[in-house]
Amino acid sequence: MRRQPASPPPLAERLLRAALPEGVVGDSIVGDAREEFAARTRAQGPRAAALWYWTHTLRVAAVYRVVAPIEDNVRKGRQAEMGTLWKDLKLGARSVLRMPGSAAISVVVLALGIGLCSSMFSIVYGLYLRGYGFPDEDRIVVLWGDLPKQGDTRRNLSIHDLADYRARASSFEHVAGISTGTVNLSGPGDEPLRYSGAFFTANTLDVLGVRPILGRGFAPGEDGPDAPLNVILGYAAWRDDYGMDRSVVGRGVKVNGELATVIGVMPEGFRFPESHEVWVPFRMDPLGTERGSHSTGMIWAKLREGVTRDQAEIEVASIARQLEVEHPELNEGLAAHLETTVQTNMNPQLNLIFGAMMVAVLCVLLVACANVANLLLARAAMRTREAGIRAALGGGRLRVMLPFFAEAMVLASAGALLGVAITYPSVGWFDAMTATERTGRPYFMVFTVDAPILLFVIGLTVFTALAAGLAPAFKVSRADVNTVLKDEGRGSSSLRLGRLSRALVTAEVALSCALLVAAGLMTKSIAKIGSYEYDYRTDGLFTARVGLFQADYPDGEARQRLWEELLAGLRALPGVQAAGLGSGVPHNGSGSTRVQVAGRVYADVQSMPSIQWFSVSEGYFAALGVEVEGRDFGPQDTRDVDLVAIVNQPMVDRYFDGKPPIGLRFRAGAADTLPWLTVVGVVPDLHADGLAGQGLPGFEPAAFYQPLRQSVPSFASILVAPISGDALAVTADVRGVVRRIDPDLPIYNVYTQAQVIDRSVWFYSVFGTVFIAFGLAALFMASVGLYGVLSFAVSRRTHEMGIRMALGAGARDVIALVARQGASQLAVGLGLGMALAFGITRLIGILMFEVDPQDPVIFGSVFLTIVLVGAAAAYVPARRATVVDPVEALRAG
Amino acid sequence: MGRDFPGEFEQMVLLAILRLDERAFALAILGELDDQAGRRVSRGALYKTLDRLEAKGLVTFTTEDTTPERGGHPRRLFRVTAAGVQVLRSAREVLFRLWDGLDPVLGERPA
Repeated sequence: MRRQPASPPPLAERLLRAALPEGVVGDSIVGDAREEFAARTRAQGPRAAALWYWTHTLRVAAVYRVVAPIEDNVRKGRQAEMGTLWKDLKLGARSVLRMPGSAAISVVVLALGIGLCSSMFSIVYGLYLRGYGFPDEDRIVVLWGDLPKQGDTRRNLSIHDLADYRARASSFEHVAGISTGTVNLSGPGDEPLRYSGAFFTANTLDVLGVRPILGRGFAPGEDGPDAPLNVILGYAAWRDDYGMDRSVVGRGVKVNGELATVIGVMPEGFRFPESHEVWVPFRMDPLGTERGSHSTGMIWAKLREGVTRDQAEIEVASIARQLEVEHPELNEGLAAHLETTVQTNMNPQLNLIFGAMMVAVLCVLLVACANVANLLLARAAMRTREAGIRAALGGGRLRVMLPFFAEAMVLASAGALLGVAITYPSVGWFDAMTATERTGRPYFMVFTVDAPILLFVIGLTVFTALAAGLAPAFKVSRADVNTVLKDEGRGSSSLRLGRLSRALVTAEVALSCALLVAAGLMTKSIAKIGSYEYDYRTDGLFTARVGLFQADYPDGEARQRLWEELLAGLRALPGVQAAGLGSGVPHNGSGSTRVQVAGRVYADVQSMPSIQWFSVSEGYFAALGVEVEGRDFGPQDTRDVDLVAIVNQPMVDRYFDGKPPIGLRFRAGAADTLPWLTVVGVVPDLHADGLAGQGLPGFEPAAFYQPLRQSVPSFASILVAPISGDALAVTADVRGVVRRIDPDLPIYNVYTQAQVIDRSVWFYSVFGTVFIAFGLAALFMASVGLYGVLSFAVSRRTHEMGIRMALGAGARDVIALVARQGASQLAVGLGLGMALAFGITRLIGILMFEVDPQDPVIFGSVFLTIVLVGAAAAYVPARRATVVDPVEALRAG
Repeated sequence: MGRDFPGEFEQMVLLAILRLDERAFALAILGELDDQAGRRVSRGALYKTLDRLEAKGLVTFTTEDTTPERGGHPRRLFRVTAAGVQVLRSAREVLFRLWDGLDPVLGERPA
């Protein structure tokens, strides 16, 4: 029996037939295709044959419908309309080269506008809007406690509250508790390693919707008080410290001294909540512990499908109210609210900074658009006459506009390309400068170029370019040709584009003035930080951190013994001139507490100052190279004698009225039953809380120090000042001392003091650089704007200049004529700009270090710079006006 | 050399048709170009070239009966016309003239 030959895909065949010429030629080609299809079906099978048929169809169709018609046109000598259109386009594109200077400037302006704006938008997007990238992230909410009385709107809630919300709220699928801390893990080689870890209730990964790539997550009940301890490793820890060994799951390890089992490994890039590397169960026992006696955590929850955030918000508020009534002693005044994952990472200080930067960037975008419009208007207007002639000769609107369109298009595309080339490296730079190692930014905050934003900015600027480039042509194509031609002849244009562009330039001058003042202040601030003279040792000082765990060191005495042994060991190291321990180091404080100064009356807790607090050993100040006025702590300051304290100079100035404080007393804490501390010494400002907040309202420079023996911390910083050489060279020695005392105790955060400072002031240089870039871009743009408007004006008045000079006006008079117009715009712009600068600098004072936001030198030099640049921008076109040959100018008319 | 001097590809197609004699169907021409000239030719380009050669009067075709495999579509058998042969001949002469005397330059012995 004859087999029915398989037939090709019908749609493809119909397409092929449609693309081919009618008649036998097309038919035979379809037949060829069928024949080959049959052969291929036999040789390679029906699927491959069908695929081939489709590609064959598309290729033949392309040849017949696309390639051939073009080639035919070319062959026929670019016949008819198609040919002239092409010529017009080429003519327009080529005219870019007629004024290469102004073309280059347009391109750079466009590129700067695109580059700066899309970089900035990408940064803000990465900072605020990208979120964590969890599945169903819109259903994840964060539940915060609110204590409006204390101005605290993001308060962690207790495990008892967590249990109550979990039991009572019906809006949530899961309610998870999360807290963070440090986790010591005894690794494969029994070398203890320290990680930042997070404590998860068993359902946390269900809320986040993330699964381990190896092993499993916590099972229900594994966060119970008596459950055996499990640990989940982060990808980086697994890769770097466990060699990506898949058999790590099920292995026994020691977690903070307790035996535990590794049950899983999380995917790469998961470091929730911020930059955490290992996860252990948040073991809580709300029933077994008394309310108020146990720890607190963040609450993250997942909304049930179909439940809106508003509904959940109402439910949460009512539960908070119930809890207030049931437990007034703890929950009085404690409200609750929900935030999205994005909201919860916003903070008012950053909002302000980035608000300022967004304003700056929008200014730059506006300026860029205005400039491009101006430049292209100027270019296009010079060719209005040409357009008029085209129209007079009967050219349709399309024919009149085409060359203008082509020119604008070439400029816009070049600008867009260069802009993209600026965007990628600058966002990359920002990402590198704010890397986690340097700034401790959370893991999900990554800065990459956001394509939709880039496209939006490009779209906006390119649209501006096209609109501006086409405007004159559009006008001509509508207007009475006669008027245009006559007009052009006289040189006084009926194109009233001038007023708008003059206003734009004034605005540009004002904006760039404000941005430059900001940039100047930033530069000064960066320089000040770089050359800041600290009253204490920075370069030659080794610092590191050690933490003791409850399991190993249950009480103050055990901790005390360890600290003393450690201190003795450090001091005995060869080549060390001083060593000390403290709960924190300068720029990286250990916390603050309310204090009550003896002899003062406080209305309530809120009116007591909240002051930086440290617990330090003898040798701490010596290691910092600081002289204590009065006396340093010594072996005599034990728990058995009266409490003493050393205070810093700002505390003396602010809370002891500048009086010599030795012998004066204060309480550390809000309760009036607390013992008094007697001041025995004074030290300079050691920047307990860093430089970052200085000058901000609410910044507290005051600090006090207690002897380690009288207030034993569980975490301490080691300070070692070697006699000479690289401070970090003592790392191995210090590690040896610690391990001799307790082999399970790791040291971490090993930095010189200078590095600690660098980590706390990074943002001055990063944001300073950003503002400087903006300021310079704005200056460039403003001068371009001024230049553009004036040269436009000059070119419109060539005829007039010619007459003036023919009637005896000198070069000087002509320059004065042009310069006067420039000067008035410059003056108005400067006035507005200075006023704007006063406003803006107050807003960004937060970003500046020890710089007066109204610094007269900066304001003065910006003023001068703008005047000079403006004068230069006006001089070039004015000069051009003087070289007009009167005869030429008149004849051209 | 007038504008009728055929392009390289046109010459190859003409020669392939001549070589195939009574079997010069489009697919066979394709195969011949592949075999003899080592050239993988896009079918679209071949069809378009055949159209052009026909329009210039250098080739002509007759249709043959169809086969079931072709689903009733005719098959074209191509032949080079006298004009086509003439064009090939003059092209060859032009090339010969140009080649003549260049053997030493090209470093080859005359055959």
